Amino acid sequence: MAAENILEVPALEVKNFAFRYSDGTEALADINFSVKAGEALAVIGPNGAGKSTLLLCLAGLLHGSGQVLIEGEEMTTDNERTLRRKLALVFQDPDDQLFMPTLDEDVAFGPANMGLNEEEVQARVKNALTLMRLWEKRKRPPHHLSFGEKRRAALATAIAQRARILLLDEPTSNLDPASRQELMDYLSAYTEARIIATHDLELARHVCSKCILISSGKQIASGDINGILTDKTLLNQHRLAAG
Amino acid sequence: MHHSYIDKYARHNSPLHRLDARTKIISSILFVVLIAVTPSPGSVFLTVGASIPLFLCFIGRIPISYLLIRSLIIIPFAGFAALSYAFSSSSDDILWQWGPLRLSSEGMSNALILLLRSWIAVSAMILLVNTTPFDSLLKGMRRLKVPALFIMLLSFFYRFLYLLWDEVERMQRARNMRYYGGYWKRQVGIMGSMISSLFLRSFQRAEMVQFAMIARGWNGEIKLLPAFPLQRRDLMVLLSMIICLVGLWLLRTF
Repeated sequence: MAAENILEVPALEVKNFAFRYSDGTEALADINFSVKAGEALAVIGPNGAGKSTLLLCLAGLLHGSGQVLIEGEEMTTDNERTLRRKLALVFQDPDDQLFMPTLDEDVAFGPANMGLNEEEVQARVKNALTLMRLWEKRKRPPHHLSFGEKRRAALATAIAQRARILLLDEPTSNLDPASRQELMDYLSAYTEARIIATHDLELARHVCSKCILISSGKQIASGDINGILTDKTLLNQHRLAAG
Repeated sequence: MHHSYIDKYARHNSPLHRLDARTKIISSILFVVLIAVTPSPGSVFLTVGASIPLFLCFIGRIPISYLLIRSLIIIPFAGFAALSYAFSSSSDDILWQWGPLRLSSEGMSNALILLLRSWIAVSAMILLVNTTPFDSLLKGMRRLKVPALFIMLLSFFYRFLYLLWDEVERMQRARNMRYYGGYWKRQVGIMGSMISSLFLRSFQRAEMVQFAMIARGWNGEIKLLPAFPLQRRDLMVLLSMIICLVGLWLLRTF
């Protein structure tokens, strides 16, 4: 019975969440959704809808009102550092994510901050960089990598954290078609919970089973991905389909 | 985008590249200090001093032309100081005079010494950066007990210098596409707006990088790698370098 209860607890749950910028502008209002372990949720919406802000809030980097629960535990300023160990965030611009002088040091940054021993850190670095086909380039500074490589490197930093919940912000933007397909396949096969903010609807359909649509900071729809992506009127209204 | 990187040859392979970063850092600093503080250096001292970076260039398989071009960076700084030196001597040995401007042989000699000192010091630093990958340089500094916060700042400087450079180039390109010459006075204001825009973009970038660090468990503490002792070969090289520098010191008046 107890084991069943644990399985029922969502990996991440958001209840009545709202966020305002310091100048008072409302960026998010009344956001509600949950993601089970192993499930993938797409957060879709037009430019400026608040998708990136929502991810920053889920990672406890911005603080709003309402509740964000990670595996049943509410995130507060007191426990956010501990709970963040269960989360990994991949930023939209890989140049924001990669800040160390070489690739392997960057991938080691998260695991080292978890207090893991040097051997385990190096094992994780090797695993993540090999998975992302970057092991040969581990000693390169990030500015010596192509954009596609930087994107894979940013993902490697998250993989090395072995987080229970992966948060990705527009992971396919600016990628060539082959890299995009590769990334979509990788994300489909990923076994932990994923929350993907995107307006790439093909990515959302390929990887996710659930979806929420936000527009101007408000949650417009939520539910099964196919239900939302086949509603042309809804997509048209919120600038997610042309014509 | 491709830049002329400050450490273009750092990942080449040569006996100099294979040395431990600490050996190179200590040797370079001692050499620069010796060159900078030696009072009234003689011509033999300066000639030997100037030939050391050139010789090391050869050992490190770095083109001498690269070193010479890179070292021109001293001109705006040391060049003006040397000019003022050249014209400020009170010696009676006047070579040329035009109004209050008097060029004496003593002034010329002081200016030349200043230029040579600066060139040797800058060349040593260019060599250090081009024979040691930047991350190894930082690790070497960490192991030499340089404060971790300073290392972190240097590491960010190296990482984001090129990103900022890219931003500047993109902004310049965007301006050039819509600037057709003339209206010089207006351009000064536009340049000011570009600089403020660059500042804002840098600020936003800094904020996102801070988020990226916190998201990966950073709590203000900088993790240091465990130090390991210098190898026998590095110790021998360091010792030889110190002996050479003592030899150079003995030559100071020649």
